[in-house]
Amino acid sequence: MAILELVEVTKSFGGLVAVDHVSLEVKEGEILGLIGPNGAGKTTLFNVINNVYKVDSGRLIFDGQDITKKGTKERARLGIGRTFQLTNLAPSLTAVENVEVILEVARKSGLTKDKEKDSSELVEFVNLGDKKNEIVQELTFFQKKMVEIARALALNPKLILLDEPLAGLNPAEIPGAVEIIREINAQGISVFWIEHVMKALMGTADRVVALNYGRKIAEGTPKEMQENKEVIKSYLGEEF
Amino acid sequence: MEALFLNAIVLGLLFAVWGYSFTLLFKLTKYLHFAYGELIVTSAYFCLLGSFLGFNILQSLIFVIPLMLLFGLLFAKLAPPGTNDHSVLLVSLGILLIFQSINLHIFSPDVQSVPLGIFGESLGVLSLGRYIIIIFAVAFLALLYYIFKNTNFGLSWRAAADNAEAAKIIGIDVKKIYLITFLLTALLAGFGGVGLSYVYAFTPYYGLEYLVLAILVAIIGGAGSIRGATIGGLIIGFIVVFTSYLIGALWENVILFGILVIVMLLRPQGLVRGI
Repeated sequence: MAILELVEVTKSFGGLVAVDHVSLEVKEGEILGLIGPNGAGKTTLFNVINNVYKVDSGRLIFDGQDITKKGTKERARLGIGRTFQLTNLAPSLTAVENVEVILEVARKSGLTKDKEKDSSELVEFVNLGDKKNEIVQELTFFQKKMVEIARALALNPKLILLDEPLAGLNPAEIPGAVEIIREINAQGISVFWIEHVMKALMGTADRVVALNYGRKIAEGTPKEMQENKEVIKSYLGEEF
Repeated sequence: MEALFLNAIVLGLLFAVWGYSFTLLFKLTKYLHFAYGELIVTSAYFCLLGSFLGFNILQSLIFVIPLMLLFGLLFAKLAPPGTNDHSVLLVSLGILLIFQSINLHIFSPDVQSVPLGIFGESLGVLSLGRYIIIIFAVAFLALLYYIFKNTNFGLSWRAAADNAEAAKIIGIDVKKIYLITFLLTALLAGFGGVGLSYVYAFTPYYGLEYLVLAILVAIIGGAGSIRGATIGGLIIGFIVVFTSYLIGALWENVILFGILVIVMLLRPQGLVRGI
């Protein structure tokens, strides 16, 4: 059962085809990794899923519903959470307030019918309990990323899109972040994860999809991907 | 002296409401809406019309309120979320000119004032009307402060004001918040105009002056903060009243803009931060 299905999704910017007829699916409950060199179209793909950009052609199906024509707000309210590479928080609000805002949305959209989350609990879940009343602007990059994750979780999402959550983290911070991602998945939330920190991704994901120049070039288990010639070529060039 | 002091407070609170409602719109939408001052003046002209029909200023609120809401709706439709700054500048300037021309046509460029009736009766040092201004202004500012600090709507609003794109992605109805803000701003401008009719005489050209005043309050007080607008408004109120009394009205603007320059040099974010 796929929680998210992309069918021949295409997005161009003028002459540049950023996402080229990409078809893939995120199976319910899995951690699906998305890799590819810079400029491959990974973030654009996420943006298309969130409706930051509208698709030029193709279809998006979430939890059985065709969401291709749905607006940004509707998609969020169906249960798609998202984090950003360069965090996208409300800078003048505190950590708890940033999470509280989404809780309100979750309530209104009926996403919290089975269990309502507590904003303080969520902030503690990402190990920021002592910083919860700090203005987000004053937090470190790592802490902001954690608030982003807490915020995405507050929506009680069925699927969470993580855009390079480990980018900019030092080696000491990475295991903590990966652990949080595992725990999120353990709660039944499907994870679609863009990452460059290969070791962490390959060690955690169930399956991985690789993009290059907007096209899907490979798909499979982490082991299969690491042995795939196309994938290696896209990162390291022909010579290898 | 007591009269001066109290009058300064009256004007100050009135300016605070003008300044705050302008920055409310600005903080959310980032639009510098030139036609904002026209709402204040037009509302005062509605009170004038009301007086021709026999309404006193308070009664005129009956039609001022729906008309202001209508204008707010109009402004909102003309500048939906995502409109770029140049378009907003042009559109709002256009609206300013239209409003001004219509007012000029109907009311002529002569200075007009609204007959106060019982609201002109003195109650001690001030007239009844001015006490009413104080009460309404304080009530509004307090209510708005409470809403933005303590309610979920206020939180969603602040999130949208901080980062509208992210707000949309997390499911906040930014369009609705824009609409509500335009309506609220227009409503407050409407009350601002009613307050205006208690204290000043006006011409159709004053819309621009009040816009500038509102922006002054916003900059000096701290853009987007109620406490800031209140303090900024009061400061300007005091300057206006005491300058007129001590030095003469001609120096008002010199001192006002002088203070603006000082604030911009020393503390450009305004005197107060926060809500």
